[in-house]
Amino acid sequence: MGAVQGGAAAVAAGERAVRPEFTGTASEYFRVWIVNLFFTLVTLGIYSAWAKVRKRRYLYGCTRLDGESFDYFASPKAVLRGRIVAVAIFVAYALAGELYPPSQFAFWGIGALALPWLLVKALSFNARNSAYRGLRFNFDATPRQAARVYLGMGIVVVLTAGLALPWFVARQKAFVASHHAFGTSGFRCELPARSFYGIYILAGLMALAFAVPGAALSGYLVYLQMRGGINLPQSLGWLMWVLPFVPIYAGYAIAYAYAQARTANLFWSHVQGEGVRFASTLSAWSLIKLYFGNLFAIAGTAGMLIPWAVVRTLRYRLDNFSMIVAGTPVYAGNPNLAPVGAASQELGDFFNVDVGV
Amino acid sequence: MSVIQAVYFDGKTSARHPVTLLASGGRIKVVGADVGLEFDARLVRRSLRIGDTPRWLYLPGGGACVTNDNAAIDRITRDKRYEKLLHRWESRPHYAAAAVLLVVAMLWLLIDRGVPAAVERIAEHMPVEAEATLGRQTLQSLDERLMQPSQLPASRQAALRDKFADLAAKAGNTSPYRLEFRHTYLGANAFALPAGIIVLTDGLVDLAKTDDEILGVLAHELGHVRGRHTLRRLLEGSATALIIAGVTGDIASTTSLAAAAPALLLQTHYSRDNEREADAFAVQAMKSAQIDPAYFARILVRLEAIGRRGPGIPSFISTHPETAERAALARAASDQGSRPLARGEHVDFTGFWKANCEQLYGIQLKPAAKPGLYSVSLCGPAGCFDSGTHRPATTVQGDPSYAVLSAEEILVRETSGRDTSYVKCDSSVMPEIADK
Repeated sequence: MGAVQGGAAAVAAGERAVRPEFTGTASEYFRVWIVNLFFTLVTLGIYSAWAKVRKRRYLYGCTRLDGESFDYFASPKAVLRGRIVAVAIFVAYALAGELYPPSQFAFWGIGALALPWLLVKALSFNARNSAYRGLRFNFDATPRQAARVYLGMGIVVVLTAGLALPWFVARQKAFVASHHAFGTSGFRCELPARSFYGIYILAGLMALAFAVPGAALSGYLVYLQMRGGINLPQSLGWLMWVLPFVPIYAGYAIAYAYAQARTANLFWSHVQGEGVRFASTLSAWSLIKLYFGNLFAIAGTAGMLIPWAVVRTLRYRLDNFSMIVAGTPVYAGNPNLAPVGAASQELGDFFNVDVGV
Repeated sequence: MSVIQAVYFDGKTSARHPVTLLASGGRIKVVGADVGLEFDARLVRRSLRIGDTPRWLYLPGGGACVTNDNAAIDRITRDKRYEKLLHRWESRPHYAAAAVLLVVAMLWLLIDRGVPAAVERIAEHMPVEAEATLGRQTLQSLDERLMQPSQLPASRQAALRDKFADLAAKAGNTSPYRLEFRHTYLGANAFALPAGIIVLTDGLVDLAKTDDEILGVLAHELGHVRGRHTLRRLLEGSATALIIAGVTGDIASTTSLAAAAPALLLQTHYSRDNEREADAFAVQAMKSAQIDPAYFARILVRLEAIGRRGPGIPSFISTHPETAERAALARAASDQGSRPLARGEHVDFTGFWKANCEQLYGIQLKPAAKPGLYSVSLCGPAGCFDSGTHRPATTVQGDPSYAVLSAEEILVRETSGRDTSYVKCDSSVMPEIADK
């Protein structure tokens, strides 16, 4: 547990703030990453399931909270089975889409209906395979409850042309958090939608502030070039295609980092467990710098600095997280946790379903 | 006997029990202030060693012990061989360095060799309908975003269609194709889509001085159609993207895009082979149809000259091999290829010659004092300069040779081997240069 730094949440009498610690190093994670990547390539991807579990075990094992590390024990075989199912469905989706395009609508339809079930299974798989102090986490929502939030409230977002999106995000985050449990002790979370509106409106304005002048400038450049005002050599012709997207992309990244920092802080300050609450002090500006640093480091080294970026991001997040404990609570384990298949989590990874915590 | 300091969790509560592990004779004892347990060592499962992360012993009955003493755990339990191998690789820097090299080599092998080989097989077995759908969709999305219907008269389109059908027949082509005319602000271009669709833009028809030049470009695109190059490139692109996504999969999507950029550079590589194949077919087809392949060279050079201005479809520009190389190939195949390039001919050039009539600077070729030699001078608003003394946008180095391609076009080859085509401009904002 690190020393309490400035910006941490206020701690009342009888409470103590516990800050997580990351004991790993980027160079050690790099070695794990590169060796596992090598085996993944040699086995044409089959080993990727083992690699995924191993990398996550490393990151969990290096994360210490109140002196104890986290444990992750997903079975690589379950992950592999999940990946095979995910790849099979993806290939079927892609092939059917090529041969008979309307079939993609059917796929999306089925996908939307299966989404609640998928999310519940993915979150359960992840929670039940994560442990702390010898106790597993749990996610206990039913697909029906998830459907009410994701489909029911999702339809409201569509009907209001996106105006209800911040409200939806608040409800969805609260739903995910309040159905998680450590052992038998559940977490509670109620999020005020109003604060999410403030964050999203500001993030939207930030994105526009960059994208509009940027798009105008690059539009002008393209116009100039078409008039023959700029004579770019042939080898640099692609610049005219890339340039317009730079400010739009930068604006999006800044808005994204801002929204991430603010929503994470808001989210954690509203999560409570038995005798425990949380605080997050992410700064939007630090997160922006972190993301851009990662972007340039990864692009400049053709991906070789990915492990460094992962460790650096995780460390920053942990440094700005604290758990505030009242007394010394003892939690009970949940003896009736049935194992969950990994297919839904892998499907989620494949189709990029964001489970949003 | 091994003695290990550890922490015991019973799996029923989160309470922490500091314990000592005693291992001897196939038994493991867990001893602490309020703990006293003994297990058969064979029933105790142990987590794999990863770096220096804490190590877990999972006990029968749901309890678990965790310790930082990785070396002691390795002593009391047997290593599986692959586990030892993994840990050895991960813990030594020079093994990691070797892994970096191997990963790069593997990725290169996979993308450079594996992907084209796999794509080859997929392309062979791909159903015709699937390719037809793909071609239709690609054309449709281009029509929605970048292209409008052609403004050429129907009679002109029909004439070009007939000429091209004649060339394809004479070249012995059996691959089905479909010629589409389009107008686009992207300018002069022609490209092949999957399922044999060849798109010809009005800009290219305008740029061509004769129909034989257009036929040269179309024959080149037919070469792509015959090799199903576009389909392959699309498949290769998706396969490469999939590999890159797999490799970089554990970081947010914000940054994986950046990691994919080098892959795009790799993409251009195999398409160059495709271009050479298509060029070779174009030359052969033109010869079969008794059309001089030099026409193909001429339009290539002209396309390059205008390619410098205005955006074009990036794939068309950046993935084509050097124009000089391609034009030389076509010209070499031409019957009259080498003749005009030989020096010693006396030709008087009059008028104003430029790489592009909209460009500021022009060129003047005049016989030098020494018989059989020509000097090339660059002309600007202030008059003409001898080569070597002044180099504006057009650079001519040394004493070049030239070829008369037609009454309106001269090809100048610099000593560096670079070719530039100059066209005779009818109207000029430049002062008239007097020829000697």
